[in-house]
Amino acid sequence: MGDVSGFDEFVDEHGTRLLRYAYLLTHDRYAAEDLVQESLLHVHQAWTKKPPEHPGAYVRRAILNAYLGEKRRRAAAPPIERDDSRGGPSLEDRAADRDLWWRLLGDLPPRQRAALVLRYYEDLPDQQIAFLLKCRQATVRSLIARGLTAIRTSSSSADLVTTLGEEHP
Amino acid sequence: MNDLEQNVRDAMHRRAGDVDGGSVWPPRRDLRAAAARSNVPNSTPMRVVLALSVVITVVVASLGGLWLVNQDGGASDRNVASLPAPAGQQAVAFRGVQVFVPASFALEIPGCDGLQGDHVRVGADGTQALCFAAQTVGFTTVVLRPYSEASNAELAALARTPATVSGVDALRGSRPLIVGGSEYVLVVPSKKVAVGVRTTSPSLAATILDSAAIVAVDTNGCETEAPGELHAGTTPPASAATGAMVAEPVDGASVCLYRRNIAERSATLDAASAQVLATSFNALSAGTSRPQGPIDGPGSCPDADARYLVTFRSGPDDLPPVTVVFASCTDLFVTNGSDTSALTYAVMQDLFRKVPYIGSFRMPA
Repeated sequence: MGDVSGFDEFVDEHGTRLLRYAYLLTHDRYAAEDLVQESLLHVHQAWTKKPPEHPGAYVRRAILNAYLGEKRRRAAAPPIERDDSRGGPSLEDRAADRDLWWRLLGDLPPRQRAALVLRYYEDLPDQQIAFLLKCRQATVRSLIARGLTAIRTSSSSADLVTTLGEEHP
Repeated sequence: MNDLEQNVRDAMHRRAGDVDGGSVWPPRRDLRAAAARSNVPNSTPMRVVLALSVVITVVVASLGGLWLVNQDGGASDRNVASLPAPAGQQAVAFRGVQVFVPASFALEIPGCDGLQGDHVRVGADGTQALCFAAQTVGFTTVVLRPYSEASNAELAALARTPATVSGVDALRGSRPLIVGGSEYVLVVPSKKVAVGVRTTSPSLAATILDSAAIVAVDTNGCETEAPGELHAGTTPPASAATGAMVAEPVDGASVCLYRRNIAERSATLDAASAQVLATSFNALSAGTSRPQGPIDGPGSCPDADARYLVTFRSGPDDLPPVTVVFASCTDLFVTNGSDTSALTYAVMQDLFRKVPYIGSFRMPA
């Protein structure tokens, strides 16, 4: 067994923050828990060989990779047959969400969503976001700009749904 | 930063704040012993088992509530009343969806500290990440939690096999867990409830999920849909201020937690606990109290309609129910419909211990 000194303390100190970060990426609490768990497993294995110099960035990157990897796997898988009787989220469901911006964020493609989370939740500069997303800084700026544009464009109709839902809970 | 960016930032931080609480490590010695007894896959380093034993616990739940389940069920109509638990089983309900779990399963354990065996969580939402070690070392975890297709996309994709629960459409599914075992889920969309069983025993999961039923009254006597007696608004009724909130002494009580007029959690109190609560109600000052902190508008109190309904018993009789409005943006109060008293911090703490609440609220100022 290698040296894992500091790992327990790191997880203890950052566990909640990591879970929140994963939740913002996945928009699903169960998925977030699994994502953090899976990522910590990988990080722990690496930690036994050599503790990372910047464990926070290391773990965030692991979580991000797991998230984007899962999205890629889902995208590559045969489409799930949809039961039309269930339809999409009902008006009630959408209204129950009570958070327009959260819903619009959830509609973004994974990389755009990730870029926005890293910028507006983690408060990271372009350079670090580029490192985490494995892309150029210009690409980061483009992802964020496109994400914000998509949110701005969608906000009018979504706002209407929320208003209707709140009037008729 | 422009308005749009500020809105996005605010939304993220607001939602992230739903994942509340702190990391709690389970006792290492006990976990090592438990892990040694388990069939942890050889590829999983033991230190990983320990290191991943992170649980995020809701602050209010960590107050250490004891959830008592009354196993004296009522009528047998699956859609009308509660179902009595078979021998060796206990009933657990959330929003009208009830399952039976082995009587040995612990209920409402805060954090991982007491989590050394099979257990049930009710209403787990957001912050209640499961204790990872529990999944690994062979424990079974049952979670009854809120569900909506809009906000649980992963779960919706997982539960795709049509099923029924008491004649109501439902969906089932399963998936392997990375740490071993599997998660088996049952979703009842119309009730907005998901039941998850994380276990290494497929047969146990099947038994638990097969027992699911829709009930109109849970085993603690709480109606799934809020009864008419439940004070419906967040404005206190005009108070006659004529006497005690509760006629003492009392012999017991049921405490029902409603949100959007649907029962989420409940408890049965014994005589001693009920008496303490009744006395504290009667000691409250007439009037109402205000929530702590600045109120930025209705959005500051998204669960304004959350409330407790406490029904005390005196001998064979139920006393008039008492409603506790605790999540409003305006008035916080306790009322029996005629008398209204100001809710206090101490009374809220006592209620949270009895029936933990997971959601947005502000303690009384």
